[in-house]
Amino acid sequence: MVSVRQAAITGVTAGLCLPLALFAIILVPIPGLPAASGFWIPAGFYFAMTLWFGVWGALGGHIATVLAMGYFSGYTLQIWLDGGLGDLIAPLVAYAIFKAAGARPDLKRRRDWVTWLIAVPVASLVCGLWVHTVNLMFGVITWPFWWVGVVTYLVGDSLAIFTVGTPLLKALTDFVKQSPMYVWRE
Amino acid sequence: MSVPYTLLFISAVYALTVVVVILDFLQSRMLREVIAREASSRSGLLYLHVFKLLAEAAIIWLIVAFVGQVWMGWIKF
Repeated sequence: MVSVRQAAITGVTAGLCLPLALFAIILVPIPGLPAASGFWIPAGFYFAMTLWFGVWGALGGHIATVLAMGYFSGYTLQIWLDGGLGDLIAPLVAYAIFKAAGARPDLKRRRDWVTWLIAVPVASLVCGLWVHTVNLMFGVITWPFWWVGVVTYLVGDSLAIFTVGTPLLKALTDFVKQSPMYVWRE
Repeated sequence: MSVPYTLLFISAVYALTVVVVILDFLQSRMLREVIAREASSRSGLLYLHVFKLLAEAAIIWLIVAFVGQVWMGWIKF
């Protein structure tokens, strides 16, 4: 059963990320890739929410991405599999790396910083590989463009996450720690 | 050069929004300990505070994006 808090976290994440996703697609489009952006600013928000609240934050990012991409390219299986699932996977990969490394999202220790600096590009790369393999299988792109897409995804998402996610984690994690929903309780 | 009325109005709203966000941020910094103490007993306050700051960060980004689009000539008045 989903609690009110879990629903609120998912809803707020989706609500915040949706306008950011829509304008990220409009402002920094990638020629040849429908409903994609070279600077995915909402990722900074749903990465932070996922590192604080686990899957409920990631689910908000997933919903926002599906709604935003679908608005431009139609609500199809390809869009859901592609950006939708991709943006669910990415923050959860970062979350799993934090868990495996024993790091914390307050970014206070050297281990936390190193994990953050590694987890973000790795998560973006995994997601980029997923997204563009789906695009390739659905015939949206061809082989030569696969690499362009993966590299664009890696760079664009990582930059956006570092730009927005880092100050959010630094400024708010101490606060969020008091929440019973915070997933890193000692 | 005259400023179009729509641009003038939207700019005024955005400028005031930025001022409100900055004032709220400063207030949050000054009241950090008080809010933290209160939030430990009332978790609703904690979520309100975090969600509000996230929304403010999103608004600032959208205003920056708006200025950028005007600058690039994508939005015209």
